[in-house]
Amino acid sequence: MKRLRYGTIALLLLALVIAFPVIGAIPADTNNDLTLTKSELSSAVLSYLDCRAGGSCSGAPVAQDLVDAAYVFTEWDGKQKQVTDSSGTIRTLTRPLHRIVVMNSETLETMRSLNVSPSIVAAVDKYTLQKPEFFPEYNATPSVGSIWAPDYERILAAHPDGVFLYATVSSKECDEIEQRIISVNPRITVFRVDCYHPATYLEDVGILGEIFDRKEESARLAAFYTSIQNAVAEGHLLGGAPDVYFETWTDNKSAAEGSGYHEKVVNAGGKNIFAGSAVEYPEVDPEAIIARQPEVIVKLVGSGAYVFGGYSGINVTRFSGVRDALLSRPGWDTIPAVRNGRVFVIHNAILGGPQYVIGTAYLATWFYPDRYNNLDPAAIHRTYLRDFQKLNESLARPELFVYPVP
Amino acid sequence: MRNGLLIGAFFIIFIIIAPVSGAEIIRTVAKVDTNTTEARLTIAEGSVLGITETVPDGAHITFCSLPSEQYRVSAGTLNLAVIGEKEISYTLQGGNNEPTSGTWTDFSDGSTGTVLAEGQTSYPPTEPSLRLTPAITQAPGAGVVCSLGALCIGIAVIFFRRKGL
Repeated sequence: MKRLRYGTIALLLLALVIAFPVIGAIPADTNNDLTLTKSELSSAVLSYLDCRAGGSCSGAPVAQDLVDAAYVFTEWDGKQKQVTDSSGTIRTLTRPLHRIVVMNSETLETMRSLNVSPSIVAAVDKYTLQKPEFFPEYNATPSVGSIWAPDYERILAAHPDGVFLYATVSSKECDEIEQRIISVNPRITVFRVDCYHPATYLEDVGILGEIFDRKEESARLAAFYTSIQNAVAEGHLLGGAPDVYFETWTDNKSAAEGSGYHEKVVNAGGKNIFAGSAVEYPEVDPEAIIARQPEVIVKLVGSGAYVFGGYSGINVTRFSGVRDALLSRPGWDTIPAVRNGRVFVIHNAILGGPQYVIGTAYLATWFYPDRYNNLDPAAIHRTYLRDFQKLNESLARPELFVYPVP
Repeated sequence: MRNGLLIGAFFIIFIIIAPVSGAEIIRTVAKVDTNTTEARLTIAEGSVLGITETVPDGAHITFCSLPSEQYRVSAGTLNLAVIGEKEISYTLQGGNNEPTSGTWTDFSDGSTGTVLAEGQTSYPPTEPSLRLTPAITQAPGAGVVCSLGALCIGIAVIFFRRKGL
């Protein structure tokens, strides 16, 4: 009986070895020592040429393997590449990625800034496809659902060699997706990157630069962000931070410490009046807003009941209506921000994702209207679209993203 | 007649602007003595290449500058694995004077082409590439856009001229 069990285990192990003989293998690394030597690459090239000329094809690599081997040899010094992603997990690549599924549009946007070819993107999440003006190159790309409702059949049908998921947001859902994908096909490398959090965005950019061998591009993008962040920081170093009420697209819902929006308010030099709430996105008592007497109010739109403006450019006239509704909330006429006309509306497209740097520049000019004579958020927006996103800079018209328009 | 000239002109523009892809390899052949020929291959770019040189009837290879693990001689052919080398030479003995022919494959991008004899300016050197899955590649550069643009303008001009517009 015991012998039979050992036999079954042995057979299972054998089946696994047969099923996945090349997991983690560098192409043409014939001795599997995880280093592709010049000798091994030469041998592979000569075998390929022999086979193509009608000689023996035994052991000869296919063209794709040889191209990948050449890449590993010249770009990675013949070794596998190890990248620590934003979740702190070390991911190993033994050849460049050819077919990827990207389930967060923030990563997709950052990939575009790094000049990663869209031809390697085999499938995207459904939210990317809901932004055809911003992601026109993916209009015909298959959807794999979302982080919250993933379509596993479609993910696997895309035959990806890499899948990109969030690292910290919706981590439970992303953990499950990762585990299920790996359990079905362990050859797929899952990468966890956020690409929206100001505190970690530049690290994420560096990680993507490593994965896609786009170090120069990632350094250029980081320099662009850093120059804006420094310019914004200079303005509020003098002190006098205004009390800010930040409201998400859900009325009376704010953002507290731990959330990306709180971080953006603080980075712009504001003092978030609900920073210390117990949860990241607290429902706040309308009376508490009035009691805290904010000097500036910022309302976020672009989702929920406030879908207008942004890159779609639809119903932009709603901006003024939203602001008017804020001004006429019961009791708000006693709030300094309302009395002094410092109530602003901003679209999430330039604050929520990688474009937070543009939104933060707008916030800073609202928080300190007399300190930023040389900071032009609309110009930053145009530069970002033109130089990094390769999109028409006319998409950056301020009236589509902020109200009142500066 | 004028249409023919126009087609020619735009074809030349297309050729001039069209970007070079893959490697360019030139073979220089020198007679050492009556029975011995030295061939020298100069490689402009491309770091991992496979080259197949066809050896003339009756000739055999007596020397190759590459390490032995980087070349193989079999009936009528010399296969070379080029990994970073910019110049390779080999020596032929015997055979008649007919020129050696050769083809190359650039494994950095999958392009293929013909080894050019010195002074030969046949263009384009590349033939249809290997069938590959797209890898991490750059977007096409301005050269591609310009050449396609020139071709489109040429076709449009000819079309409108034919229509008498």
